[in-house]
Amino acid sequence: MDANGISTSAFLQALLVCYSIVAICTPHRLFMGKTECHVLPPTTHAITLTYSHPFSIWAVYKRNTKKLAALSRYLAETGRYKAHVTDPDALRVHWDSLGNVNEDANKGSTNSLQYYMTLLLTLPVNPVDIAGAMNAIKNAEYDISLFPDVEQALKDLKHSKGLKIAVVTDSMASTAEKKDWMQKAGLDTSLYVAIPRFPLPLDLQSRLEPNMSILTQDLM
Amino acid sequence: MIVNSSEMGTTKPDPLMYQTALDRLGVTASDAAFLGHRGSELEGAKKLGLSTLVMFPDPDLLEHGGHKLVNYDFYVPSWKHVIEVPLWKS
Repeated sequence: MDANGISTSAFLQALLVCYSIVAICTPHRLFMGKTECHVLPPTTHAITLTYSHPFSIWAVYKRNTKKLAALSRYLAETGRYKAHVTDPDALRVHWDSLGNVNEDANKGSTNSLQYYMTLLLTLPVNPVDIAGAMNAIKNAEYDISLFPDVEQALKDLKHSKGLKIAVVTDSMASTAEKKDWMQKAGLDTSLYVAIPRFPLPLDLQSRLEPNMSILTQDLM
Repeated sequence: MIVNSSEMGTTKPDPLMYQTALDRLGVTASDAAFLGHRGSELEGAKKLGLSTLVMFPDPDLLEHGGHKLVNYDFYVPSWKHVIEVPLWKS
């Protein structure tokens, strides 16, 4: 390990991936950064980023808009609710106010069904609309899109680089559900099955030093 | 292979989340990297000894209107750049 805690004796053998950067749950959660950019090298000190460049805060923040949009649309179509209930921003505020319930669901103390039921009952949604609203939310869960190039990147990492790949996710949905979402989005989930290979040794620092100028060019 | 918080009874950045993935893959933390977008999940991985990559960072990695130091090893702007990270074999 070097001073940054990065392995210098050999290439790494595995990559753990957060689910949220495999797929997007909303068209708003798009990367808006530079199109021609390079991987930045590890730094002796931490890297700094700003909101305005190269990222848009609007572009990276919202995650559940599609579920809320689906719920908003369903409730509005019933004609039984005032605008302040069906407004997506109001739903967002309510959704966020259930943070503890969300956390419990992510830890498996409750499940997504109970979580969404809490959301609907506390809005409140008329009992006759609960089933339809729940259905609208669950259908929206499947409506995800993969980030550009994700499948090819995972294939390259697995087959060309010999990496074992795993997804580590905070989710109230079951693993089977998440796999189903990804498969329906077109991702080959067998990419996550480990293939044991042993990368060749390498002096990592000698590979990193030539790249240090990129940091200066792109961020400073 | 998916390590899912709702089946683990805990969430990131609990080391158990990452360690379970490492155990199932049969690798040590020093031989693995974590690719994420939240500051807390990246810090959790870093504490365990994984190399860390950030993509599509959430605002908690940043500071409104200014700069904030965050603890990760590589910034990867998009999936097509992941292959360029010099942690993998050529």
